[in-house]
Amino acid sequence: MKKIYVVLLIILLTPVAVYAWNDCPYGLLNDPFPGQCPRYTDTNHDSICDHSQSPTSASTNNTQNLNNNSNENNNSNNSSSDIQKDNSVPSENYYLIPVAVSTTIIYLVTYLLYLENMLKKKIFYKIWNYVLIASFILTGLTGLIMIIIVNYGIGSSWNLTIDFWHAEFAIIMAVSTIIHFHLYWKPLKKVFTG
Amino acid sequence: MTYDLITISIPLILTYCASYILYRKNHIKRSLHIRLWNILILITFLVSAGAGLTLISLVEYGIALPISQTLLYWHIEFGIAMFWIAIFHIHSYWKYPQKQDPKESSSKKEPSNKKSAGNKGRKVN
Repeated sequence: MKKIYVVLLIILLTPVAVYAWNDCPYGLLNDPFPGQCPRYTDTNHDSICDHSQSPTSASTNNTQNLNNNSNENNNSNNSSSDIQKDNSVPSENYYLIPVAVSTTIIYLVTYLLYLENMLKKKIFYKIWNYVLIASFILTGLTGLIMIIIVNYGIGSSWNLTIDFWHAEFAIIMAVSTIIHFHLYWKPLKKVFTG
Repeated sequence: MTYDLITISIPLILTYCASYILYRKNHIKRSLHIRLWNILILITFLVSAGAGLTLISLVEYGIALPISQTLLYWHIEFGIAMFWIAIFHIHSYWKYPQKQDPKESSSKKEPSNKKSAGNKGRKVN
């Protein structure tokens, strides 16, 4: 029965993970100016919300714009360099739902393998302990670096990148910690019940 | 705004050392030493991760609240504490032999009787 629940959870969560990569929280496609929500952003100036566009369609539209505006070479050069800058700098989107759901799906798959006796208990526990330790080390180190940056007022182009990866590893760490609670549920209960 | 990296780290390290020495000298039980730090790691995790996830959600949806800065401050302060307590947690369980349930040896013979990970698969009925 437990296996059926795990399989059902994987089936239910997979579309969420896939759909969540589409950036728009309302699932809008090619949302025109001024947009239907307060998150409207237009970095490539095509009057369509970037969140409602897939990266490929955004670049296609941009290429079309560049071809159409042949007499505005300087402007188009500027916009393409802006786009390159945007690609190199992490966005404000931290992929909270996709990263969290993907980690949960991977856990459920390994849990299913464990229930099916295809994965030894020791290995199953080790995998998730290592995931937790690795994500903790990376979150902790990036966090400490950011504290030092803030405390000493160090400004560099890496600040946003470190912030982005701190958030990504922290999401994995938070999910792994909840998984850790699930794996060690009995000892955890003992902490409070004695 | 600066964050209290040193003023949080040093007292925590000293407290852990004191607790560890007390346990090693048999003044307190290992279970008490472990329980104390397990409760602390749980509290710091709940505050730090809760504030962090709230902040990420606010940023993702472009919401700026007046409490965001306070939230960030406490996320970092509790995060510093959690960082050290997590290291203590790893130290506490590093190569520490886990209690082996006598029934578990029978589970190795009969893997089909294995219980869920939520129950740690220790007890076999």
